[in-house]
Amino acid sequence: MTRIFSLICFVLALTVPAFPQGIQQTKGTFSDKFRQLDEVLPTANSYRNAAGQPGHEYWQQQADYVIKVQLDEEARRLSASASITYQNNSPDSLDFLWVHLDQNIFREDSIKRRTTDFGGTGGRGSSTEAPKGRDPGRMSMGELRRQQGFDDRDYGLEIEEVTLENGEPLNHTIVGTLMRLDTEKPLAPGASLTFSIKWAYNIVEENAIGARSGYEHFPDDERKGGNDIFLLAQWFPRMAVYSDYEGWHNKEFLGRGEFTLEFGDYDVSITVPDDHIISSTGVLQNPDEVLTETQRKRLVEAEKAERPVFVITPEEALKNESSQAEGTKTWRYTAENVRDFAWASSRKFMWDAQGYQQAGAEIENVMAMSFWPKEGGELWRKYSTPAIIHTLDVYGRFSFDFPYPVIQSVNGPVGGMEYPMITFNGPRTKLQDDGDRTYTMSEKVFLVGVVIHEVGHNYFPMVVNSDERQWTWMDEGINSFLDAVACYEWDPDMPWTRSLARDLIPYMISENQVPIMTQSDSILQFGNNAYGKPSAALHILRDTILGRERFDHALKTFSQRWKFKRPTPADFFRTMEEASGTDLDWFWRGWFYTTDHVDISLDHIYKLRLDTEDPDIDYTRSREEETDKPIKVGVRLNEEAGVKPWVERHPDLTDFYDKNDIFTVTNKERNEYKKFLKKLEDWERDALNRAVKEDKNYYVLEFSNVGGLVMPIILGLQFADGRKEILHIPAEIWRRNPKTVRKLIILEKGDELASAVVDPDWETADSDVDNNAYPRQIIPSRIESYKSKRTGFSNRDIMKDSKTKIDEDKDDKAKEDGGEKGE
Amino acid sequence: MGERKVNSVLLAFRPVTFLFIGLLATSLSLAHEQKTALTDIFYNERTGNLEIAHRFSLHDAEHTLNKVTDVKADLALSSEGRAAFAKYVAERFGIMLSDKESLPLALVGQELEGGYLWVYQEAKIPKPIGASFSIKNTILQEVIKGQVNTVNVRYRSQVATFVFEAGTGWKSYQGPAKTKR
Repeated sequence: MTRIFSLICFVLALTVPAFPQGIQQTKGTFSDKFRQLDEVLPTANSYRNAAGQPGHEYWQQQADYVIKVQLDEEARRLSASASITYQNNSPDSLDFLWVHLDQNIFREDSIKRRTTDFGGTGGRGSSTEAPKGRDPGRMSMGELRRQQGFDDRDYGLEIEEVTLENGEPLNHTIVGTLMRLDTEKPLAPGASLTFSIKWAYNIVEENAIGARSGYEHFPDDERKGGNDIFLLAQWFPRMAVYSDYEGWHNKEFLGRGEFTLEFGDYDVSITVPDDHIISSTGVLQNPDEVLTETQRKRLVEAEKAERPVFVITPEEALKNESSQAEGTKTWRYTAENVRDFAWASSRKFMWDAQGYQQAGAEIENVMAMSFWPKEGGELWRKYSTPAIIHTLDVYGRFSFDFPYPVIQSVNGPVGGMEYPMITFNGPRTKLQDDGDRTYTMSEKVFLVGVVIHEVGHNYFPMVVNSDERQWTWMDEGINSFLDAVACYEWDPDMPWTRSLARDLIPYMISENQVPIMTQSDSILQFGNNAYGKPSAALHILRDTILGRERFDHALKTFSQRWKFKRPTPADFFRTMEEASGTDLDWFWRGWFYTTDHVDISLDHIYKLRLDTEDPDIDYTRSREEETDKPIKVGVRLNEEAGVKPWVERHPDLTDFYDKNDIFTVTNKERNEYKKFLKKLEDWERDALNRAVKEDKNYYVLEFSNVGGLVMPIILGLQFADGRKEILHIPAEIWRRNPKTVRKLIILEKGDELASAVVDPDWETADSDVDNNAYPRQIIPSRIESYKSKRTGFSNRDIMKDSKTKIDEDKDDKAKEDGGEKGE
Repeated sequence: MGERKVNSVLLAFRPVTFLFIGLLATSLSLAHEQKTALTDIFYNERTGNLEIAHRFSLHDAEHTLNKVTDVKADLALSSEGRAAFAKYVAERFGIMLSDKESLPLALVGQELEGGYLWVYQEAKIPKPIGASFSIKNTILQEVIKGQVNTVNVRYRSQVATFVFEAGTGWKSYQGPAKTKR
């Protein structure tokens, strides 16, 4: 009994909506969907102004790194030391500094590992089921592997020492995935601090643990002991952000909300087995020491090539796979003004490159490069580097020229992850029984899509530096929008998913969702919330609400204002309004701050005709109306039965009323009409006379807002003469009544409206099309329309069927032998 | 196509002794699955049918096809592969009426639409119209880590949403609330 009671309480607690504090409508039920975001957005200040621009005192910190790192391939371990220079550009004195140690998420005592809900909501976790009554608990093989992976080795950054330039130790305290550095005296505004850290850590096996980096083992390679691909990211102590709007961004890493970091310059020397090939953030400083003459020549050739040029061919890569290292080699990279640094290393890589020219840009020649093992195969050879270049072309038009000299795509165990100048992408070919490597259409869609998406992240958030741990949508949403634009420019017929308004409807009507403006770790339905819905919103903003010219101008303004700076959602909202010249507060409020969905119903259309007030016209019309009504059924049946009415049987007893119906006009009405005309002002009389003469058709369309989200009404009108028109009614029609509105449409005499439909092109995510058309039409459900076309074309297996041999007919034999082969 | 064995990748364990049920290789290692599937249960009052449409990312379906069926094929090109996948889906989705009778669901078919694979089932709408029922959806949860299946039940403009993760079990739908038309 008590258990049931507590369950009910829990449910009740969940269903009580949280009302925002502050201004409230406390009388009536009016809801102001157009209320300005005044008290919702932070107050503008000198660091970020009310126009959405960096303010006149905008500042951000800088962190520069000189790192030496060594990869121990056998032990799958990194050892490194760094000298970090932290520049305090803020107006504040800093008592302490915070550093991210993201590898600590894999420690046994991390919040992430200690708070995994067994059998509960996992998101990215493994499958587990809690025991229930007589049902046993369950655990997937993957979860077992993960636990064994954790048992076998210790993970997390092992900080060996933290010292100042003079060699004195710098006090440090590790707090979960962060470390606090206590300086002897506060770091003054304008001052900088240089210190050194030595550390090491065991690299996780990506496929076992699940991470954004790690190693992948290939036990079946010919080489004794097999091979590994190492993807190294979040591998060094990274300075946490100190910002004007949040102070230290020292929120624990729980695995989902990625990160933001400070920009800085990097000088990194990476020592690996001498038969490994490295792909890394930055520009290689010592190609003479680590590359062969042939490889260097091929790289020069690639700069102006029309197609990717192999730096390491598939044959060379296959040979390398079996080699044994004789020693080590050190590859030195430098990178300027980047917010992170990642790299990959393996002897399995083939490598291609192609220069991308940006005339007039700060960096005119960008080298696009891809690295992949034989498992990537033809899929990678054909599409990885071309997809990078396509991304630079499209994103460059929407934001700014690519600001770095190199951009890379590397295949390894990570499905898709972005770092400056380097991205990790997972799609691969499949080894068939006959030794062939093939890939499916959707694997191709995945490769092209993921390369575009991860390279796109080099603009958002690697350069437009928003904070994904707080507002995942700012980079994932804007980037999903742009990757969809790029994908449709690549091939509109490929089956891209997820990012258009029509794809998001099931999510937007579902009950278990949170507003887009929700901190990353608390989001329900992550992909739909942070990728899909904001992307759909931006497509609608571009193609339906603002139009391409104004939207593109505004997005480009935002990108360029915040290039190499740190925007917040308010800066985005404000810039889009300022640059497009449009009040969009209703749009941000509805799409980003609520969980309303779009469902606009066209409830009625009334056809109206203007009364002339002239009784000789109006009364006659009324009479016509009456006679147009269907004859009363009882009267008709009487007629059919030959029942003669009394009046017909007694014609001698008729009177005045039998000759004059109720619509008969008398001079009384005519005098009133004269009086009415006399009382009118001249302009009123003119207007009436003109309207009577024109005798236009008036239609009133009545709409209701079922979903709650206010949106423009896109109206497809069909006329009696077969003509079609689209009428855009701006969302502001809902401003005084967000529930029902009416729209008057006036047509010339004789021009008749036949039907109307809301959102005929499915561009607004309207969830229920059944109430969109008037007069109502029977819209077959998904399953009904499937049944009706089942005999049609969609289920043909053309690839298999095309191998069918033609039935042999003796007469045809000669023709077939004649040469044509039908495969 | 012959009989297919259903392999479960979930290992069972009870207090004290572990009990393993039908082992299968490891969970998928390939990342970047969408890890979400959507099911729409719709009261079609015009036809009197409860229409059930399951939507999967084609990529997820493709990568799990040979784990959950015996078919090795390119899902986008093979209707045999899609049919096998549909049959698998039907086995891992169920509706139980309040009297513990399961509602027989007819497998209507499947089709590709853009990057999605749809699988369709249907049944007569349970009577009376306000009747409650329970739903279970364990599709792909034994092969994709963290697979989350969302089910929307739609009656006119009413929507009830149920989320199924590994271990969720049956969830109870209270039935449509009375509405005026």
